[in-house]
Amino acid sequence: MRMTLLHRFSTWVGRWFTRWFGAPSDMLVSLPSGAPRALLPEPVMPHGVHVAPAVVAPVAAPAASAYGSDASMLAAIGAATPSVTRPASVATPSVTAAPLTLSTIEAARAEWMQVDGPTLNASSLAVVAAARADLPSTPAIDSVPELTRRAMLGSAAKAGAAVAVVGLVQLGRSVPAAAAGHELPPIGEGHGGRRHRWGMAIDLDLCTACNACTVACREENNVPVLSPDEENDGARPEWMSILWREDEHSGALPEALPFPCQHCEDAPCTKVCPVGATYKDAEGVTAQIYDRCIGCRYCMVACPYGRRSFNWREPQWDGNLVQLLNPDVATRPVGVVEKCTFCHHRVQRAKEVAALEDRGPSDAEMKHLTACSAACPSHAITFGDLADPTTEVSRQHRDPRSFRLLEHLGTKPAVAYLKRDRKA
Amino acid sequence: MSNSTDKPTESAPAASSETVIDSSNTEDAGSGGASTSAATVERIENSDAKLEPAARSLDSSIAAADPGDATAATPAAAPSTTTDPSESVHHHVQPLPRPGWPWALALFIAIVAVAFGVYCYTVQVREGLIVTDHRNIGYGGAAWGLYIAFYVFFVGVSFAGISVAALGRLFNIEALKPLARLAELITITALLVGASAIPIDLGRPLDGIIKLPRFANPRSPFFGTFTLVVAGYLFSSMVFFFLSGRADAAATAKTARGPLKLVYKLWASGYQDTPAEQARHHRISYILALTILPLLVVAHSTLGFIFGIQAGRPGWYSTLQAPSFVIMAGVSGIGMVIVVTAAIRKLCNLYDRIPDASLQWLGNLLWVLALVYLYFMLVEELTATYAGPEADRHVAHALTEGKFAPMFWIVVTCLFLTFLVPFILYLRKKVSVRLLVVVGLLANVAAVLKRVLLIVPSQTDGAMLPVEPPLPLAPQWVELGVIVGMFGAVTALILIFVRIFPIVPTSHPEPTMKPPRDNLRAAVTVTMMVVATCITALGLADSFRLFSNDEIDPRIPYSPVIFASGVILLFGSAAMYELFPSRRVAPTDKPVTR
Repeated sequence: MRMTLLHRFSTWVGRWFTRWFGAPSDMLVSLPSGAPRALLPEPVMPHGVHVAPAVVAPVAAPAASAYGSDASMLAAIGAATPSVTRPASVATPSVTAAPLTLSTIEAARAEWMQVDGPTLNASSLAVVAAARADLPSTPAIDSVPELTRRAMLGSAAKAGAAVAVVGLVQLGRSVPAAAAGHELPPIGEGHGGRRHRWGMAIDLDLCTACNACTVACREENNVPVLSPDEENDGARPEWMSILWREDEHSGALPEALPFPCQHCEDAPCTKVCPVGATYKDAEGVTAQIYDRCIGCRYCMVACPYGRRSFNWREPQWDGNLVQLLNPDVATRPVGVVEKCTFCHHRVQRAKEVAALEDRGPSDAEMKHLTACSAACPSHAITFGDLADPTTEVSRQHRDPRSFRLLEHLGTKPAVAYLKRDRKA
Repeated sequence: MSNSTDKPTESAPAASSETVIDSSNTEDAGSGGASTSAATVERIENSDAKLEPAARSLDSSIAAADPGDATAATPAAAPSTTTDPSESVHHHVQPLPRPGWPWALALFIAIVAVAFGVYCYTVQVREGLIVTDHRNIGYGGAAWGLYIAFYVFFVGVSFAGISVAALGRLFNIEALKPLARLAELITITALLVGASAIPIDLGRPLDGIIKLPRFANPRSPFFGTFTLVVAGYLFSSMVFFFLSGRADAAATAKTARGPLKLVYKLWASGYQDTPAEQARHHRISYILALTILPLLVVAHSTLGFIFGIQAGRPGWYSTLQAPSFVIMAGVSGIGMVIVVTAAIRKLCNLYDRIPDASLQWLGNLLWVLALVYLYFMLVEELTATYAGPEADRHVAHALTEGKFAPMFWIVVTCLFLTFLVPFILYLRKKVSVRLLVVVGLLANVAAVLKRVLLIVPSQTDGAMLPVEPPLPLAPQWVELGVIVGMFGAVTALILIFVRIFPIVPTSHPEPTMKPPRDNLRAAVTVTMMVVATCITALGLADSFRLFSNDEIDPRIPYSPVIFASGVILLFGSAAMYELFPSRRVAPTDKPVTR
């Protein structure tokens, strides 16, 4: 009896120890589907500070509908309009104290726009922006885009107003699903309660080391380009690169491995972050909240793959480069760590478009969704849902040729490589 | 009310039983008993001094402190000799040193260094961390560099400070007692400066200062260094420092003039040097010392775990990391105490108060620790080199025969000398302060270089994948300037303190009694401890996100602060025990005779 008790006690202690110090990722990041999130806007919004006219002007000018201002705002900051077309009839769902999903944010936003007319209410929008920034599953859009900040601050607006406007812009990205009355699945859940687990497979037989993926990634994600000065050596952020492996005995040509973040299931970087700025999101993406990051670079030293970059200096885009920035992805300020997000914004968009048709995103849509895989001329890079065994990426993960980098560390990467068979 | 009536009846027998021996001795000798006993003490000391000339200074310091002991004992033995009740405190006053131009020059240099460090930091804030030699891992760089190395170094130095003080109290080592306050001072200044290295290293320091207290997660090994080291370790050291300085502060306040008098009075906080207070301090300092030593090991292990549990970094991932951090902290810290003590002794001419024997004692401790560390290094290198994983071997080879080899062998040589010289001095039973100072400096050189060697190579050369080759990186002037500023800050703080406060604690006699029974005081202290423990547990549990329903943030904002304040309150209860006002004059202040 005493032995049993002792055994049970020690098992209990051990389980808690493991949970606290070495928690498996799914235990800590599983998000409550129905739990109310902090800072959910109440139906009655505070009507306080109004944005300075200089900011409001471009926003307010042609406000035909509630959403019309979005397009003009995007135009005002030199960004492209949303690529997904908006349905003509805009339904305005009433706001209830529902979980803070994209649709409820949309609803709340629509209501204020009606209340306040064309004038933005800075303080209330800042509240939403803050709430938005605390949402764990939107890593790419959580910080203020540098571009927007510069554009707005130029016209003597407050920083808070800039945050608010950006929050609105970001909300504007998810118009279609909410507007058509379709309910987006709660954050972390796919269509019909299914849970996605995004992954990637890279076929080394097909890879030609053309570097299209690295360029596409840089373009898509606004990864800063630093001057070729020697002092910038080793300081250039890079999300996707090519890793060259060489077998010194065989004499074969060196092997090129497209090398994104491995999105480990048991990611060492997420454990060490002192402030929880990096975490595993519910869909298996190792995400980074730039606003939260304090720049201690512990995640960088913990990552065995070296797939994290630090902004050692203020990123700058000279001249026309500013016009080329992707409005879907926030730029990062100096002093934070950045990394591959599995093109989270594209995934989000695909889910929304699919939700319009009351279905989940199909494998055909996802297969070449990320910028790197879309750009790959030989289709070497495949993206998709690992939770669904029928997808292409799942099949490639099960392929006998598949291997993962540094498997012995037990990090369980979500990126699998297919070993090169062809003789070259 | 019943407490106050019980008190005399309960405490008087205890007190009188302690003083019975004294009074019975003096009964025969009459009123001259105290002077004769003092004379015999002196005679014995003289004969001792003749026997062992090397230890003469130690004895003379004891003799110098002896009159204080005698007066402390006199109220019990012969009350008629003391006329002024404040005499016992007044007797302890040591004149503050009046160091000359070398002190002023040193202070000036230190302040210039601090100013330069601040300037360098502004450069870094303006330009970003690009001005350092840190770069991305995987692109030939190291994300952590000198700042983290010196953070570890300063926290390591703080080890010795408090351990010297705590060891001296715990095991009643007379040789360490004159060094106690200086050692604690080193601990506190080094911890303050070391803690400032963290925001200096951050990419976004202001965000760090706000977000670390708000979101800090105990699953990150950094948590221990933020909360435990800064809150627990620093604050317990401060409490220890504050309580042990009260007697001297009270004595200094009597002669002080000007605004500092208020500081002394605040520090003394009503200390009267009554036997009851002495007894209470005796007990509390023992308990604090007992608490601080384990905390010391925990804090330095936490520091080691920052590196030791990262499986992704060959060269770091080792079970030996935590213990070797503790030992290395001891080596560098004790070396630092030796150097600082010798310097202060020379600057302030404290030869009569700090004997050579104290430094010799530290030297003995130093060679033991250095030997242990050499052993650890041997084990580590052998494990990594023999049949370790490829990346481990690569790092080990980069150290022993690669581009880091010069630094590595300097470290080994320094450590070996740190062991050898004090060991020979020990074998030959000699004291050479000059040699010990050199050895202390060598130990610190070894400590700094070893930290750099630990941190940098496994980032630049320790990749497990064929990433880009290491960049030719060298420390930049901005980093070096900031670090010079850190040293300047430590030096300036120590120099200023030495000028305004007696740096050698007045030696106290063993108290003649147990602390008088005081139920209210005990109740308040215990309540405070219980409350503090609850707050600590609450803060820790919420920092672990136990209540936050699997969300990312703690349920209570700033719960790491709650944890830290719980720890601070816990140690504050020691101060509470001593500072809690006595409700009436303790009966033991009056002589108890039979």
